[in-house]
Amino acid sequence: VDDLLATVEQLAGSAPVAPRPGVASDDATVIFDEQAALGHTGGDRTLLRQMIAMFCADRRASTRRIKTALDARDGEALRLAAHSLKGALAAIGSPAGRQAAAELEFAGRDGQFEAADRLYPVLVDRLGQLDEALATARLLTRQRSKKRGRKRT
Amino acid sequence: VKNSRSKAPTGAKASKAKGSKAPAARRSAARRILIVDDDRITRHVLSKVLESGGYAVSTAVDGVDALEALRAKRFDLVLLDVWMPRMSGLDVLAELRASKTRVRVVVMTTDDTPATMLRAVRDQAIKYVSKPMEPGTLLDTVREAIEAPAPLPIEVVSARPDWVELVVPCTHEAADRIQAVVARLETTLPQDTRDSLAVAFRELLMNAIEWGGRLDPNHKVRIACLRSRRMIMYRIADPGPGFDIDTLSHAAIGQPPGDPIAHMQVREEKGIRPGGFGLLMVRQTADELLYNEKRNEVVFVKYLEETREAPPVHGEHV
Repeated sequence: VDDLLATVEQLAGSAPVAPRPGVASDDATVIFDEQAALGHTGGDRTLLRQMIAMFCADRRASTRRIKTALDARDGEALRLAAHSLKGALAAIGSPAGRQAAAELEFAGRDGQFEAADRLYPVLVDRLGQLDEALATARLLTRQRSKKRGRKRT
Repeated sequence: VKNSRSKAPTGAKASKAKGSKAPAARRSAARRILIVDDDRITRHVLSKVLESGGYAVSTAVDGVDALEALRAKRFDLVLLDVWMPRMSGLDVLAELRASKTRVRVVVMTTDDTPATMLRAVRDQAIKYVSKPMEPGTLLDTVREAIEAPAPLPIEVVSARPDWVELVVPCTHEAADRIQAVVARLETTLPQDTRDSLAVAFRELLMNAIEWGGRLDPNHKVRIACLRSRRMIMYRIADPGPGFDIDTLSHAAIGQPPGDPIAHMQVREEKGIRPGGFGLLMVRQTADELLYNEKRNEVVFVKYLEETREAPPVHGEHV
C-alpha cells in the first residue's frame, strides 16, 4: 500500500516527493517531504499549516535579506540570513530547500560571493518548486489581501 | 529590552490544562522553559509541543533578548539556538558561565560542526540536539535535561578539529554527553563507518568509565580524538589499575577460539548483565588496537581511504 501511495503521489505532484511515505527523507533532491514535516508536528496537520503559513508570510523578507547581503558582499549577514531560512525550510520539511540555503550559508561564511551569486537563483528556484509542492499537498492557506500596515484583528 | 518579544509564561494555560493531562504533564506544569531562536516557525512549533506537555514557555528572538529574559525570571531550562543575529547562542553560553548564572542549557542546532559542538561542551551545555526534532524526542530531551542530577563539568583540553581532547568524570551521564559529541565529529565519513566507529568508541569509553573509573564521579577519564587525512585515532586513559586479558573470563575476548561464548556462563554466575562482546567487536573494527603496559590506556586506530575529506590540519589553512 505504501508503494502504491508513493507511486500515486509521484504521478500527481509535479515536484519530487519523498520515496516512501512514513519515512523521513535525507535526500536533498526532495522538494517537500510531507511525512518528515508531519513528523516534526507529531502528525498535527493544523500545526503544520500554521508553520507553512508563517513560512510563506516571512519568505519574501527572508530572500530579500539574503539578496541584500549578497549585493553588499556582506558575508556575515549572508550567513545569518541563509542560516535562518535553512532552519525554517528544515522545519517545514524541504530537504532540497534546506540544502540550497545551507550552501548559501557556507558561501557567506567563507566569503565566496561568486559561488553565492550562482547559488542564489538555485534557492529561488527551489522555493518556487516548494510553493507548487505545498499547493499540491493542499497545505497552502490563501492569504487575504490587506492594506499594508493594517493591524490584524 | 526594546526589541524583546518574550511573552509571559503561559502558566495559566498550562495549569488550566492540568485536569486533562497525564501525571507527567501535571508534574511539569511549574517548569519554566525559555526557547531562544531567531526563526519564529521553530519558536512556534517548540512552544506548542512544550505547552501540550504542560510546561510554561517563554520565547526570545536572539541572544540579547535571552539574557534579558534570564535576568528578569528564573527558568528551569533554556533551549538555545546557536546562530542568531545580535548575539549567538555560544556567546550567551559564555556570558552565562562568566556571570555564574546557574541555568540548564540544551543547545539546538542545524550546524553540527566540531567547533560549535566543542564550544558548547566547553561552556557546559548539558545536551546538544539537532533541529528539527519530533515532539516525543523534544519532550523526552526536556524532561531528562530538567530531571537529571546537575551535570558534572567536562574539561575541554583541546578543541582543534584535528585534535579534540577532553577530561571526563566517570559517570554514565558524562559518557552519554561525550558520545553525542564524538558522534558528530566525523560528519564527512560514510554512515556505516561512522556507526562502527561510534560503537567502538562507546565500548572503549564505557570500559574506561565503568571498570577503570568504577563509576566514581571524582575519577576522570582522559580522551583524545585525533584525525589526519588517512587516520582516526582514539586514545583513552582511565584511572584504574589496568587489567590482564587472561583473567577476563567474563568477556568474549578472553575465551579460547574454539569456545567464544564460554564467558556467558561466567557472566551469569557473577550476576553481570548479558553481553561481553564489546572488546571483541572493537578489535574487529580497529586496524590497530594498542594497550600500554598496565592496560589502563588504549589507542584505537582506523585507517581511512586517502581521498576522504579531512578537517583542516594545523598550519595547512590560515
